[in-house]
Amino acid sequence: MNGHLLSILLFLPLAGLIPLLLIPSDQKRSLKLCANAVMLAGFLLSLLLVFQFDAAAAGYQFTENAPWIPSIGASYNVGIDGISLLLVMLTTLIGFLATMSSWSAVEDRLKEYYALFLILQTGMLGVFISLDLFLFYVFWEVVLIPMYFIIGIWGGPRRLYAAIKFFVYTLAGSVLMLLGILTLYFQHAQEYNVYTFDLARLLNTHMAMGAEQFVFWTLFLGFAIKVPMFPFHTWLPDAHVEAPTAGSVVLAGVMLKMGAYGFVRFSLPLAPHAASEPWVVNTIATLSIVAILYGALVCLMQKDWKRLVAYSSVSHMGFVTLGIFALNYNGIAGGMLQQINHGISTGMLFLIVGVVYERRHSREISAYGGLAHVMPNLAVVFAIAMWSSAALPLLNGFIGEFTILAGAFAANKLWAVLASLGVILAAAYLLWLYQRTMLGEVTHEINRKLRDLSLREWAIFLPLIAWAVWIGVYPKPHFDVLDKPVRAIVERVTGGAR
Amino acid sequence: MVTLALILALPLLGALLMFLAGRRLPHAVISAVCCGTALGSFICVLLSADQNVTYAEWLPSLNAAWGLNLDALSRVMALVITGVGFLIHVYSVGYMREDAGYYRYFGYLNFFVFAMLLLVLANNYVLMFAGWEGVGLASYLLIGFWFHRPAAAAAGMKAFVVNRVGDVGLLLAILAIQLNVPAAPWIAALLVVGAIGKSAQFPLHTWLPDAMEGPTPVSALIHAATMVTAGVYLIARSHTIFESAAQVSAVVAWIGAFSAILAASVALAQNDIKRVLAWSTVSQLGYMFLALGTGAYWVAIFHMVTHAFFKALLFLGAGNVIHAVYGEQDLRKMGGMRTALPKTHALMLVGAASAAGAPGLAGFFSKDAILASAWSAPLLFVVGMAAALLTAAYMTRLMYLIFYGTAREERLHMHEPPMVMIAPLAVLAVGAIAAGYVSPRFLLTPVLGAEREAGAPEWIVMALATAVAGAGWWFARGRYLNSWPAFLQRAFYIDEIYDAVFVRGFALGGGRLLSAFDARVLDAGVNGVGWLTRLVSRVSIWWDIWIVDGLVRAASFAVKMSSYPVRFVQSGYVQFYALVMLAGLITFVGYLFAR
Repeated sequence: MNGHLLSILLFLPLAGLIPLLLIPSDQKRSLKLCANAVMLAGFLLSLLLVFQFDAAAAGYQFTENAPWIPSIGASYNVGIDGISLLLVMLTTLIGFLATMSSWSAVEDRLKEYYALFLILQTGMLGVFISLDLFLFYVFWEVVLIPMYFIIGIWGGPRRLYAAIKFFVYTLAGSVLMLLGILTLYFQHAQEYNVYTFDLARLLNTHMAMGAEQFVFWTLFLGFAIKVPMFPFHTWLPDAHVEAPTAGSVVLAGVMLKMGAYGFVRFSLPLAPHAASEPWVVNTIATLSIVAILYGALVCLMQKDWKRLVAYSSVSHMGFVTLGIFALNYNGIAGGMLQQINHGISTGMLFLIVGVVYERRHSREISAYGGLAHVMPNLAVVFAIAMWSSAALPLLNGFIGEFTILAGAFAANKLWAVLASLGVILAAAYLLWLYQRTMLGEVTHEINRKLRDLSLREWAIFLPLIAWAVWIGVYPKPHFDVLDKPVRAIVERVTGGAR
Repeated sequence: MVTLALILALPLLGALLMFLAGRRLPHAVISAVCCGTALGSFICVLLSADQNVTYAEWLPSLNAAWGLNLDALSRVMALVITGVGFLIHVYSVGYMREDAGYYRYFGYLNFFVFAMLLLVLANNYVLMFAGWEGVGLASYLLIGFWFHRPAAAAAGMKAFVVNRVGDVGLLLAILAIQLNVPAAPWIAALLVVGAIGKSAQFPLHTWLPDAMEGPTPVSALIHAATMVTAGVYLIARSHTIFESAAQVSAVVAWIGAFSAILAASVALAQNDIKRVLAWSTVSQLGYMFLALGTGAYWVAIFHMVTHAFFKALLFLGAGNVIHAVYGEQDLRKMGGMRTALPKTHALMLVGAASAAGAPGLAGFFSKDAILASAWSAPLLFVVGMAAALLTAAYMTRLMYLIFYGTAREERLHMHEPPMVMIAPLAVLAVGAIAAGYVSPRFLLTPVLGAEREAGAPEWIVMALATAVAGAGWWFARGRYLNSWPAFLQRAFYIDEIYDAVFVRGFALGGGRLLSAFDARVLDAGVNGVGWLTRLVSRVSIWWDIWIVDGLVRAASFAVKMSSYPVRFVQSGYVQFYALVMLAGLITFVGYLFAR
């Protein structure tokens, strides 16, 4: 079984579709139990990866390779390194928790709803473990479709607009990405006379600068839209606001990570010269810093709770891309850890909005106030999520952002100075949000009847809180698994090794 | 090694117990646990030898570890934190007795002690920063402890955000230090930015007066005795960086002197008992910065110790006064309380005299040492003296307004609080009297270095200091009922200016501008592309229907039209064909005949 652990993990959600589809549609409880059980099984199975992973080994582990479409050189080639490991763990955990959070939030078309989440789960896992660019591209597109339906069917009032915008915008990016992949594919074929999508072999391609730049920028656009980087972010607030809670959680918690993952897995190693040109690095770092400050300032003006959290993602993901394009160890390692941190803290923030929305059916910040009196437990959880997001030391966000800032500082001191201003603004918009929703007297009588967290909701938050504290207090295991792959990437980009 | 870790572990465990189980614990258990951990921690500080221990890795790529360092400097700090902290825990047992959030309060207070100890005991800057932010969190939670009051919630947020401005400076300095950038004046300058945020020095002082929204014992512990001195500790701990940055040190001295006189003059005009003390704290911290800037690092710590005693004493005394008048804080509504609160009066008198620099008391000696260190810079010396005069004046005004003259408002049942709220003051009063005689000079100079010899004639400085203190007393004694100009009461409108420029201008204005940009430009661009796509598709449809398909239809129409004449003959009626044939035949035959 261990030889195929990744495959089992990858296709388990799809296999879960079979029992799910056999259950009659009116057996709501069974449908929920089935979906939750499959997701939980996936998470537990992924724990095996953690225990069997060897942080000291270089290269990919748990690899599986089989020909798939030999005529074009596409293969089923999967494996993980430390970067993928963390993201796989994030995916299985967030996927499970998002499913659990839907228990009482979604009541119509349950079979379709959970089926789409299971397909989505396979797609996301596939993105993070594919070592074949064709396979990667297929999974990348697979992810789009279920999310389109999740937003479009179970979303808010403007769900159709948001779903189409999300789909078309990110599809446009991925088509460009495909163009880049194919360019690389043909460049490789020209050089070696072998048609292959295998990442390891494509890494040996020697391209002229022009071709390399073309590959870099087409991939960049595809990934940047997904992150999303400024100025390609405007699909995000609409998608987040209209999506159902679980959709937002998966979108922010996992799907945004695909973009930044693409940068470190493909952009940097495949086009190291184009990626390390000073003007390229400066441009992307500038966009990242703009995203950090811009997203934070726009947060201050939001009247919609969920929209605020959505814009905070723009700001926080700016740190991730800044770290990556600092092109040094601290920057990239911090960026990869910050991906996890953002998944944890923003996932929690969206779950919190979901908890409140489920009870009160409003996302307007002004509809709340003084909730800490009515829902003290929620207030505690919200405070932890807020401090985690605001980079308070001994919680996860600090470790990530501080390491990124160290990387940025080493690359260019001005970057660190400007980016650190985002830390002030993050405190401002989060604390202000907290003050307006949680503190003061209860402003609306109707809010006095709101129930505090249920046991199920506690069960959703506790693993995330535990992970946040673990990273904050003792991040070493995380940095241990990141160490080898990050060093390899840094060496490839800065060492000029071809 | 174990006792060193216990110093931190005890208050942390106390805090965790309160957060996890405090809601169900009786008050007696809560009090015993939380006061016990503070006292236990104090004892552990006394029992531990000087040592530097690293327990575990934390952020290896940035040379940060879980490691503690106990030396003379951190020992002095830790003794004040746990000693004064313990007394304030005890006092709080009485002060917070009837509060519904009793467990929460003590949990926060224990957490504060933990974070503050982490700050002073950490053996690397990154871990120190964790403590630094931790005390900021505790401060936020305790300022906003009565969070149902919007003013308290807002003050907590203001304190945290203003502190964050300073924190960013500190963060950048720490990055430079951890990445082994050679010591440079700009690193020192960044450290100063961090220090003035936490220690409420101009221009980042505006959060401290608002922080008085918190419970009074919190003001005594966090916003007077300990947390606000973290900036002083930071600079003293980093003194080697400052020794090679003379200009930055000069700036520190001037920030201190300016804050001292600015805050002292504002303190003179305040009508809220706690705000007088808050501004006084800013002013006294200014003195410490003055000492730091002149290179007299141990003197700054000396004043930090004496200040901890007399200012905590004054705050707790103020707490007793507020307690006696059921929450009233307006000095104009007090007066003549000496007879009702004789013990509190006597104890506060000690604190006020010590703060004002009455000869022989603790504050006199430490302030004298600071002024002596400034002797070689005459302008700084004069500003320091002027601030000393103002200090004596506002302390006199404070005491007269509370205790002397006649009651300006009718009050019933004024009485002294229980012993638990008197005894801690008595201990602090002993310190406010005697701490000046145990100068930490010989303890601290091995760590911090000796001060530069300013060549001040000791007795002249002492005499001058005594004279200005007396002058301040004499000046304020007759004028304590005066009301002061608005610009002093409003603290030179600095808050209003910041609000207009940074909050409304930069943050909210920038946010509004960028939100509009986001919606009107970026998103409009995306929607514009969508609209353009639809437009193109509409044009395509039109083209398809009217041109492409139109041509097809036109062609078929033309064929159809041109077929009509032919179709006319091709009617399919046999009779018609026969008729035409006949007509043709007749025509043909006719033609033949006609020819």
